[in-house]
Amino acid sequence: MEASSVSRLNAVIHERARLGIMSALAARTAMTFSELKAILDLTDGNLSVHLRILEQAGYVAIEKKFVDRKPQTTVKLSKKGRLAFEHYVEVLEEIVRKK
Amino acid sequence: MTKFEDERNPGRDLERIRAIMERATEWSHLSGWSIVISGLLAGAGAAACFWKGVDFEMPGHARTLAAIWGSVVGLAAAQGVAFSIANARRKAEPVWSPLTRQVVAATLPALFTGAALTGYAFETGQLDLLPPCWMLAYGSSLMGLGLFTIRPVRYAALAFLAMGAASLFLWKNHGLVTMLASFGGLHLGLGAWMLWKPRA
Repeated sequence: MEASSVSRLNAVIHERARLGIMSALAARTAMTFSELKAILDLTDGNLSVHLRILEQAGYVAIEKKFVDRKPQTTVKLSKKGRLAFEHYVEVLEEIVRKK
Repeated sequence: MTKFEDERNPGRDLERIRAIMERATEWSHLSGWSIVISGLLAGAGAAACFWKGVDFEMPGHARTLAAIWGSVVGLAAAQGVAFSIANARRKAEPVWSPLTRQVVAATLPALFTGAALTGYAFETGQLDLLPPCWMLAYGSSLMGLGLFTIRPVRYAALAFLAMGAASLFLWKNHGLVTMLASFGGLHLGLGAWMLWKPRA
């Protein structure tokens, strides 16, 4: 990748697992922890770590509640997260076009 | 912002993003067995009509037709919902997930249209309109579902729509046969494909 363009890519999103999480969430309004885990084939621990980083960046909102007496974690993409993801994809497309 | 490894290929990243987005919007609770059972139920409905000597084109059969096909729809819907719930539970996924809500929102309007037209056909005694109306409404609903699941569902939806239109204009007076071919045959074909040709 060309260094100048590459440096414009968002580091928080660019990590492989987090890019997967952001892509999945961009396609849906909200997803549960188990749905994300199944789609991305990540372990509980791995997914939790990356979700925490995305939450700290303000890209996702995590909601925990009980459904049928079982804990359920729902992850939603925030407005800031959607904008960051859209910008990330735009930069990526630009890099591909220039190649 | 940071420096990135050279081995990451931006083109591949874009492909991966697309693939994940497609997978994320795929409703995977649809069961092949449920589709097969729906086909068998439709076959049983058509057989019951032949056995009782009732047809959509004959006047005075409204009650029997309503009882038979109402039972078929009720049983098919109940087992379809039960299989979907079982599928979701097996995958430890929520039954009433945001995606399930989107699927319901995409399929329900066409089913409502079919129900309203069914009521009108019964009220006015135009029972011969029922098979094409059901095929067209169900095909539209299935097309909505097809946007969230495997591609063959969309092909089945197109086949329902084509058969519904043909039944309306070309195959008049063959209501039972077209019901058997569409709700029976197409369901059996789709269900069999889903059971014997699993996704890669």
